[in-house]
This record gives sequence, structure tokens and C-alpha cells, in this order.
Amino acid sequence: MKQKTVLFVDDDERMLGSLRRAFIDEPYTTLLACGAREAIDLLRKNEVHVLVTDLRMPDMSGLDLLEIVKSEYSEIIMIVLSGQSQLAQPEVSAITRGVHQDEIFAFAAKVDGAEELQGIVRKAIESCEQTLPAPS
Amino acid sequence: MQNESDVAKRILVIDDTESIHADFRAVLTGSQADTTTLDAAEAAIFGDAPAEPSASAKTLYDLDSAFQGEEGLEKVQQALREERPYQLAFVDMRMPPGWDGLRTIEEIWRVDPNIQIVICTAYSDYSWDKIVGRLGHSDQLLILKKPFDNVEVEQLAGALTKKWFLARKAEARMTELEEAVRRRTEEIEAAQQELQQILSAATPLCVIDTDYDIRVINDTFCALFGLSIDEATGKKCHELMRTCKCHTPECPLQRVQNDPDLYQYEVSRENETGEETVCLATATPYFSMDYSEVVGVLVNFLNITERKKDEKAIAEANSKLEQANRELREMQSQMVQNEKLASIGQLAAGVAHEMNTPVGFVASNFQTLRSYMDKFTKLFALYEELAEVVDSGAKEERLAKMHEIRDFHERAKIDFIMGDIGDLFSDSKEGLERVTGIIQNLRDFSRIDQPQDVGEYDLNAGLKATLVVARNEVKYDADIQLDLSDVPLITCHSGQLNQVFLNLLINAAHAIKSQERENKGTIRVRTYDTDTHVVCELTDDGPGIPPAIISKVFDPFFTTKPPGKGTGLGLSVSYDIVVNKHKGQLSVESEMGQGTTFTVRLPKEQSILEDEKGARNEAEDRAVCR
Repeated sequence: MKQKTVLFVDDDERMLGSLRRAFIDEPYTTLLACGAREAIDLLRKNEVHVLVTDLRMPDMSGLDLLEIVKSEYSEIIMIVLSGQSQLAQPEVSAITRGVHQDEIFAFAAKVDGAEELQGIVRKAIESCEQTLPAPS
Repeated sequence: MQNESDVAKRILVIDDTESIHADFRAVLTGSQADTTTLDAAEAAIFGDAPAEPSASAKTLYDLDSAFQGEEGLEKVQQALREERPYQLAFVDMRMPPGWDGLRTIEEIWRVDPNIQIVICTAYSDYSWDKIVGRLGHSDQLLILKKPFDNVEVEQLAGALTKKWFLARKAEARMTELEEAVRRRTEEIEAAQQELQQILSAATPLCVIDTDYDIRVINDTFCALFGLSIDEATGKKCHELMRTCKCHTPECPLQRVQNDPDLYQYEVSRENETGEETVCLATATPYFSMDYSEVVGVLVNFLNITERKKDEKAIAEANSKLEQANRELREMQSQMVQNEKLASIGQLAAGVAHEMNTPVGFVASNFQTLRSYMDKFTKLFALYEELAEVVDSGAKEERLAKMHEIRDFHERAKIDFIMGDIGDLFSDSKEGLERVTGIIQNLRDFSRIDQPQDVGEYDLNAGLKATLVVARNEVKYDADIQLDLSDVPLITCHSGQLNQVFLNLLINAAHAIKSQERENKGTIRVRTYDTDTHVVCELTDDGPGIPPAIISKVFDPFFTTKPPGKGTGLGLSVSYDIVVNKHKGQLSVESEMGQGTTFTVRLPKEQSILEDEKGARNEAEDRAVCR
């Protein structure tokens, strides 16, 4: 079975570095994008199954990226990894709306470290394997 | 009044004997023409030859005759009617058939009590006692015994008419005197009445003598102290008006005695219902008639109860006002604090993000480090096992172990880990430094209203610190260009000024953000100094402020942000900090579509803050003492 691919998006290189090393032992391929625009590039070139993105990024906000992914890559499972412990109002409402419509798989906080995120991503991969038809 | 010299002296002779009349006439007027026949009789009656009457007497007497008592009375009445009364009447005692002399005298006196009367009698018809018994004691009555002596008659006439005139004169004088006295009395009464009227209408006053007795009071005094005149009369002053000065050298009476000058003090008195009357008393010395000594004190009262009440009310109102003012000031400081909290709260999300990212990746790295360690431990164990089989084991065993190690090396991505571990440490170190830096800046920034915050302030350093705090809020919307010149240090509240700059920066960033533009905006921060001020200009290339509202931007609670987004206090608090607290200037210039410049000018000499510094030093001294 072909390995699934997870794309991490954050504007902070060091955050990406920590994710990269936290996920080396996970049974899927990890891609790292520094910022939303780079993420869009990578999406075009790679088949991505799970997207993990920060919300506040200078070039494009995470929510805008999620909107794009939702319309162009509807099968990608979306996970929000935010630095906010207290989300600004529009972000909260957008996320709430998304979660209610099963469009955002989960919400994780950066401060909690990678262990929790690993669990969430694993579940996302599992749900991805269940929904996708097994290759013949 | 009839004057003696002007009028003839009138004498009435009442006698029933005709010849007697001639004799009188002869004696008193010198007219003997038709009396010569009577000479003999006259001689018989008068005894001696008639003496020559004095020339003056003869011309002065106006003699009338009546032959009966009744006729005499008529003549007297007639004379009174004519207002030419008789001065003197010679009345015979026996005058048959009519009234006798006494009756005649009684009747005459009844109508003319002033007339002088001589009773002529030859007989002792009545004793003197009887006469006095009938007529009463009178100095107007003389008895002439017959036979008459001419001289006696003349002397009687002269003396008694004279006496009559003198009596009239005395009477007139008396009347005059009485009139004068009456007039004087009237004048005095009028004056007294006038005085009384003035006194009763005058301000309340009293006179107290040196024995502390109340001597004079007026109606208004009684009204003021709720007393009747009777109640107040005869009282000692301290029985009516107690003051705290009674029985002390401050007693107004004693004071004016020692120093005859005006002296004012307050007196209060409670009535039965406990209502207090407060008066301003003015004590002036009360002098003796010749002004040689002070014999008492005159005290004048002015009812100041209402004034006192008003004063009290004003004082109360004043204290309420002060209280309100204090509360307002507290509210203002609360507002400033709230605004500070709001602006910090506004930043909290941004700062949290700024902190959460490094905290997140450091935490993650820490977790990864443990898995790295587990792998190293495992690898180390494998190498130990290898070391054992190197010495004692068979070749196959050694190869198997080597294979196992190589396999683990591969699986555990040891090469990656070896290459990464340096980055893991340096990344984590950088993350921790970032957190430390943010905390340091937050701490610097949050020191806002504390007095120890007053001190030397480097405007450029303050701006840089503020930029660190604001970075996350600003960096997605605007680039910041710094154009900082060397400026001298100034004395101020660094925390407060940082708050101002933070406000201005965030406002600029929000203004740019509100445009939803493609590219980031620019915020230019420029500092320079003039002769008197250090200046900071913050210019954004945002949408600008509409002219209609630019005058309101410093008003409290004025905001263009949606409800819940802005307190509307940021700029008003900034204005307060710059203008009121630092005697500086905060101005705004804006052009629609071009951008906005806020300019903060701070005086180089900050004398106003010296007081606070002094207060702080004192506080520190106290703290040391404790």
C-alpha cells in the first residue's frame, strides 16, 4: 500500500523543523511548506492526503488556504494547528462552521507539542484509508 | 397777659354805704369833687384827716362801686367778660338787705378766684377763725378794721393790686414754665418714641453693664433669642447667651474693658425645640456720659444661622463635589487602566501566538529528544551486545549483530538524527530566547502607572521595545521603516509613553488592514529633536481619517471599529498621557487616501514630573525606615 502524505504549513521554519523531526517515525510521508503560497505549490505537485496548517501567516491566512483546499482538493483532510490559545472572533466562527460541516477534521494547539498532533494525524490517516477504496 | 403798667388797676368797692365809696375814691384816685359833703363823715369814719394820696396812685386806680353783694358779683362777672378783671375788691361785711360780706366773697371767688379781697368791718361780726372756717385759708384775703386809715387803704390797694399782678405774672410764668416743661416733655417723649422705634427696628442689640447685667435690649433681640422683654430683663448676660467665651479673658465685656475696640465673636442659643440660632456678635464699648470710662458693652447681633446653614450646605456640596471629583479621577485612572488592559488584551492574542509557536516547537523538540534518546539507548545496547560477541562469539554471531545494528540504524533513521540533533538544540535555544524576549518586553511594557517608572527615557529604545510587542499585530499588515535620529534622554513615564506608541502603531496597522489591500502597507517611524522637544512621527499609508471625524479622534469612546473591537479610549488616553501628564503635544494630520501622521512632541524639560519623583523618594525612604 502506498504511503499517505501529510503536508504541514507554517510560516515559522523552526516550527516546521520540530514537526519534521517529530514525525520521522510516522508511517507516512511528510511535506513541509513555509507559508500558504508554498503549500499551494506543493499541493499542485504532490498528492496530499492530510493538510495541517497554522492560521496566522503573513502571505495568506490559514483560513484562506483552507478555503482553497476545500474547493480544489475536497478529499484532503484538514487539520488546524494554531498558535492561538484564544482565537480571534472570525477565526473561531469559521472554524466552528468548518467543524460542524465535517470540513475541518480537528483543531490542535501548538503549545501542546507534537505528541497530541501525532495522534490526531494518525486518526486522520486511518479515516482516509477507510474512505478511500483499497487499491486493487 | 395783662401788664401792670399798661392797664389801670381796677378796684371794686362793695359797700352799702354811699359815702364810703367817696372816701375810697378820694383816697385812691384823689377825686374829691363830689365827695366834699362826705368829708365830715369821712373824717368820722377814717379818723384822721385824709392824707394826700400819692400822685401816681391817683392816676392809676380805676375804681368801681357796688352797693350790694349781688351787684358786686355782677360787676366782677362783667369785668371778667370784658377781660378787664378787678385786681382788688373792698367788701363791707354788713350790707343789708343783701348778702353779707362773707357770702359775697364766696360768690365772687367762685367766679374769680384770683381777685384780692379786703374785708372791711367795724364790728367783730365774725372771728378770724370763723372767717377762715367759711372761706378757707387764703392769702388773698385781708381784714381792714374800720375806721380806715387812708394810708392803710392806699397801701393795701397798692400792695394787693401789685400782688394780683405778681400772682398773674407768676401764674403766667408758671403756665409758661409748665408749657415749656410740657413741650420739653413732649419733645423728650417724641425723641424717646423715635429712639424706641429705631431701637425696636434696629438689629438685635443689648447693653451689658460691668456687672454682667443686661441693661438695654430691643424687640429684635427678644425675637432673635425667643424671649419676652420680661424674661430678658434683669438677667445676667451669660444666663441668656452662653458662649464658649464666658468666664474667660475672651469675654467680650472684659475685652472691651481692656481694649476699647470693636470685637466680633459668635454666639449660639438653642430654643426649647433644640433649634440652634447662631449670631455674629459685634461688641463695642459702652462709655459713661463723659466718655471717661467703659461702663459696659454694647453688643449687636447679626443672625447668621441661615448663612451658617448655607455655608454648611456649601461646604457639604463642596465636599460632595470633591468626592465626585475624586471618584471621577479614580474612574479616569480606572479607565486608563482598563484601556491599558484592553490594549494589552488586544495584544494578548498576538503575543500568545508569538509565544505559543516557540513554546510549541520547543515542547515538540523535547518530546522528540526523548525518542532520540530512546533510540540512542537502544543503539548503545546493541553496540554493547556487539562488543560482547566480538571477543567471545562466533563469526556468524558477530555478523548477525552487525546486521541487527545496521538494520536498527536504518529503521531508527540514526543518520538523520545525528544530522538533526544540533539543529534541534539550536532551534530550541532560539525558541526559548524568543519566549524570554517576549516576556521581558511584556514586563517592560506593562509597567505603566507605577511611580518608579518615572525616569530617564530613551525615545528610540522605547519605540524599539514597543515594536517588539506590537510586531505580531503589525507584521502581517505593514512593514515598519525606522528613521531614528539621536535624541536626548527625557524624564517621563516610560511605560505610559510606550503605551502611547503601541496605540499609535496598532491603530496604524488596523487602518492599513481595514483597506484589505493586496500589498502590505508601510508605517514610518521617525524621531528627531528641536530646541525644546523630542519628536516622534508615526506615518502610515492607510486610508486616512475623514475630515468630518478628525476632530473627534481624541474624544473618549470615539471609535470607528465595530462594537466589541475597540474601547474608543486608546487615543484619548494617549492624549491624556502626552498632553496632561507630560505637558507635550499630540497632533494628527491626515489626507484621505494618502495616510495619516500622528506626531508626539515631548518637552525636554520635564519639571512636572519632579514632584512625583520626590514623592517616590519619600516613599522609598519610608520603606527603608520600615
